[in-house]
Amino acid sequence: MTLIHAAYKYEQKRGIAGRAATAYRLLEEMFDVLVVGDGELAVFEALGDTTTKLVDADDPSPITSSTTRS
Amino acid sequence: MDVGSYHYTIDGVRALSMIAQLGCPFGCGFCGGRMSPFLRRVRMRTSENIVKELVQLYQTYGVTGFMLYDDELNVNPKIVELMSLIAKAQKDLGVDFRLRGFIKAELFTDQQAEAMYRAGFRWILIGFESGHERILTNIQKKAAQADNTRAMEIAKRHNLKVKALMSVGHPGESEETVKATRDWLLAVKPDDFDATVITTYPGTPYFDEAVETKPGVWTYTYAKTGDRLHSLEVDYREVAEYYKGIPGEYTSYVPH
Repeated sequence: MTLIHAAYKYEQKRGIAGRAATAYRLLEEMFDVLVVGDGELAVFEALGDTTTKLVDADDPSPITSSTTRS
Repeated sequence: MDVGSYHYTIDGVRALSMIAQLGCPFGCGFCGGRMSPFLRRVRMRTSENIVKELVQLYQTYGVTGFMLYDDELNVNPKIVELMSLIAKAQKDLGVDFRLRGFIKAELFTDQQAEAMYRAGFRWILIGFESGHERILTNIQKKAAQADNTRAMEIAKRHNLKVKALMSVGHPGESEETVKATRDWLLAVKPDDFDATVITTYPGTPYFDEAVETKPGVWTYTYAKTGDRLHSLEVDYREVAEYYKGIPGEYTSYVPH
C-alpha cells in the first residue's frame, strides 16, 4: 500500500493518471481505511472512529498533520 | 514470542534478527520506496540503545548470534563507535557474539572492517548488483565497479566473508552485461552470492518513472545513457507469479 501510494503521488505530481492511480483506486474500493508508511502508531488512527479514508504516515512528521481526507 | 522456534544461525551460532536503523538514502532504480519518505530517510538509534537491545536479547534468550537487517550498516557515520561498544559489551559479559549484516560498498573502509571483525562480524552482505559499469550507472548505484572490487579486497584483508548480492534485468541488460557480472564474480571470488531477477514493483523508480509507450507496456528510460526497461501492467491484487519462479516456467512481465 505504501509503495502504491508513493507511486500514485508521483503520478499526480507529474500530472498523469497511470497504472499507480488505477492500483490505488482498486485498493480504495477494497478497504474502508488505508494506512501508508509507518503503521506502528498510524494503525490506531485507522481503527478509531474516523471518516478518514487515508492515514498517511509516510512522512515522518506527526501523523495528525500528514493525514489526508478524501 | 516463541524464540525457540527461530532456527537461524550464523557460523553455527543460534541467532535472532535485529534492526538498528531504518531507511536508505540512496536511489537505486530497482528499490522500493525511493519516493517514500518513510523508507528513504535514515532513522538512527544511539549506539548505546542498540547495544542495550543486543545485551537484553543475550541475557533473556541466551542467543549470541545477531543478524542486523539494516539496509546498510555503514550509512551510520558512528558505525565504528557502535562496533567498539558491541565489542566492549562482549568483554564485559565474557561472551563472544557472531554478527551478520549489510554494507554499502563505496562507503566501506578498512577502519570499519577492522571494527566489525572485532565486534564479532564474520559475514557481511553487499548489494553489488552488477559486474558491468554501464549497468551500475543505469541502476544509479553510486558504486562503480572499482568501488565494488575495493570493498571485496577490504573484506578479505579483515577476514570478513562476503555474500555478494547480484541482480539481472536492469535497463540496458544484455547477454554481454550478464556475462560481465559472472566474470566479475569469478574474479573477486565472494564466499557466497545470489542472483535475483529484477521485478518492477510500484514504488521503485523503474515503475514510478516509467511512461506508457504502448497500450499496457510501460517503459523506464535512464536519461544519462538512454537505456530502457519495459514492463507490463500487473494487477497486484491478483497476480503473484511475477515474483518468484523457476526460470522459463514463470511469467516475468518484463517484455523484450
